[in-house]
Amino acid sequence: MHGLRRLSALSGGLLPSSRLWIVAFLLPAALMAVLFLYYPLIFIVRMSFTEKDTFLSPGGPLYTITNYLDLTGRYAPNILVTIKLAGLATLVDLAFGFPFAYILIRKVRYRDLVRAIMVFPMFGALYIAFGMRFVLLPGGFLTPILQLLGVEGAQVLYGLPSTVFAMAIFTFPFMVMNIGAALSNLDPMLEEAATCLGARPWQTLARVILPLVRSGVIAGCLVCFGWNVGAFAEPLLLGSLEEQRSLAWTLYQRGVVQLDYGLSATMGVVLLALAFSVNYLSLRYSRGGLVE
Amino acid sequence: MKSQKIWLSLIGFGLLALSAACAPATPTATPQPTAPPVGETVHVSILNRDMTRDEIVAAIQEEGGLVVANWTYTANDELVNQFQKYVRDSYGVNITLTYEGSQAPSTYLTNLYAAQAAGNPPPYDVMAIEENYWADAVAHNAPEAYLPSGLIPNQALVLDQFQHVPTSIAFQSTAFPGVVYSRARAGWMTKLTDLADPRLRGRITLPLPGDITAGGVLVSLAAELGKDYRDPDQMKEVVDYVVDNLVPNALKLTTDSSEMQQLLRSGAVDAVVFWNSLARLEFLGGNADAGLLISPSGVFAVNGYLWIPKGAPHPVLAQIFINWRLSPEVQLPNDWPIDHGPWSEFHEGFLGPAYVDRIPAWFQADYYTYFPTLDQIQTQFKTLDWEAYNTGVDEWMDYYSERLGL
Repeated sequence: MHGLRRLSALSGGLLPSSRLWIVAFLLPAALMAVLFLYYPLIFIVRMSFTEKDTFLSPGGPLYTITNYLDLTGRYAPNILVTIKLAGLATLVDLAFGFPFAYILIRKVRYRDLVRAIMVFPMFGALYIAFGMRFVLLPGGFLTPILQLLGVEGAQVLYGLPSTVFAMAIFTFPFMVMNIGAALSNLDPMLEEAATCLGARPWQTLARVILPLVRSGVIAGCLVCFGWNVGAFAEPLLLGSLEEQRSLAWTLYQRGVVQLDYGLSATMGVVLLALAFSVNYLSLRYSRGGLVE
Repeated sequence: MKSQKIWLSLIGFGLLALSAACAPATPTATPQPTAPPVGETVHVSILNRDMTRDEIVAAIQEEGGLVVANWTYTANDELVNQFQKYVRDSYGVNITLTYEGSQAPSTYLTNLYAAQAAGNPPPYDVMAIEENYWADAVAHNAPEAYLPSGLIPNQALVLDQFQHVPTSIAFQSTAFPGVVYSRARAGWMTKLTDLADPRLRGRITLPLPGDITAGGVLVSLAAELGKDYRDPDQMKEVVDYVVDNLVPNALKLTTDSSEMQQLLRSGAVDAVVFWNSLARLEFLGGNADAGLLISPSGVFAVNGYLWIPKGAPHPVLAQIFINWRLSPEVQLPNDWPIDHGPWSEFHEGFLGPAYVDRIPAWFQADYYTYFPTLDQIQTQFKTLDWEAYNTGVDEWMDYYSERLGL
């Protein structure tokens, strides 16, 4: 800002004022956001109030609120399935992510390398789901181990555990990053002091570490939950009929396969609202806004 | 001295590679070009013009390429290469064929109607998808009237029962959703309702609700259960039967053919509900255990049809493509450098008598195990009343989704 003012002053008024510079810099991004994000979003919201495929029909859209009523009635179980899957995946992330983050921050020497490797799952949920499918399908490399355990791969494959596990793998880095960031700001001397004063490890964890990193834990949980609410590939490829009832997958079925654009747009709006709320809360938590 | 030898060897290899690249390709049977002799014209109805060969060539040059919407599994590189080569050899023009593959053809209609509603040109020049989608498009006033056309003389080779003049023509004659099963493990199956047998608990796959794969199966089941597919209430009874008796046996609801093949081959399931083509793909892939179950109540054909959306940006190339796709040399592409599996994906039954004598030698012994005779095609395949189907399908398919919680 100061630099811009100076530049403007040095130019003897030939250059526009700093405020204009800021507007000029922001304008392309704002235009892009309006044209390619908010404008289509308005369409989606409008479409959510139309009947079936009438939004695109030559006769023009027929407006209705039935889609929203359906969502709170017929599709309420689908919302619950979505929340259940996202919640369970978040719990798995937390259960494995916290110790992982702690060891990474406190014990691992080449943590940057580990962090870099850790982002692999973020390349795509689809890869993870396909990978798990090929590992678990009969003939996959886990088949002999599963056979030894008396388990049939295909039975393990299509169900809650494999779907939740794949979702958790995808969002695991988010959990570790958030908790890791909070742990990095925690002075190790505090843990040493607790130990010197006779606290057992679990007491140090419960009374010192957790209270001080809870903003990171909550932010991690919210980010993971927010991502998993929109999970599509995992229920599609790894889910049984129950997991296929997740909202993102149902949205695809209703919209793309059955051409019920109105209802699928409504599901999209609800998912968006859910993701927005969770994201907003996670941002506030990550800054400690709701904790202090 | 040593480096001289190396250089000589390299030059030798280079010359060999060059001569291999310049050698004439293996001669192949090529479909006849559809351009008229010099001085004559053909009538192109879609443009309502009589065109000379020069005008056709100029139109191809101007269009430069086309987009075809067709299933993913037929979006084969060889098909693209062969058509581009055909246009180059026949008209001396280099064009680009873009194949938009999808296993959910309804996405094409979504894109098409979206373009239509926005007043934009359609994103595709040729639609090559199931007959019900054409019927849906007719209700949306989307298909162009293009038949008969001087650019499509091969229309004459296709039986009347496979034509909807003036807006579409079939490129398949024997496609139907059915059951592909393991003869060894489920050889006792004789009808679709056998899918409800307790012996198949967790041992079958069923199609997801929504598209014509599920619709075709439900219609065939209706025939077996003595129900009328034209009556939505009776179809809801069929849906109830499926949800209460077949779904509990399903390991997975899927329309992913590669997943079904893997499950069937590995023995994880005994039967999969998909398209008849899967049985011969399995056979040609080395799985002689795969059998195709034909319902004793008959077969409703759900064939692929070729049509051109209104306002298609490349109408001349679209018609040339349709004519080429209907030619016997492309319907049974015996001269293409492809394996037997891909060959069987391009061919889905005879469209008329002109195609019968092209069964390749390698398939003559088994052809009629996986394909019907021309006589059977004309007498035993039932035709759906697509208007009645499309009128009721939304209601009972929605009921099916509701019962499944989807």
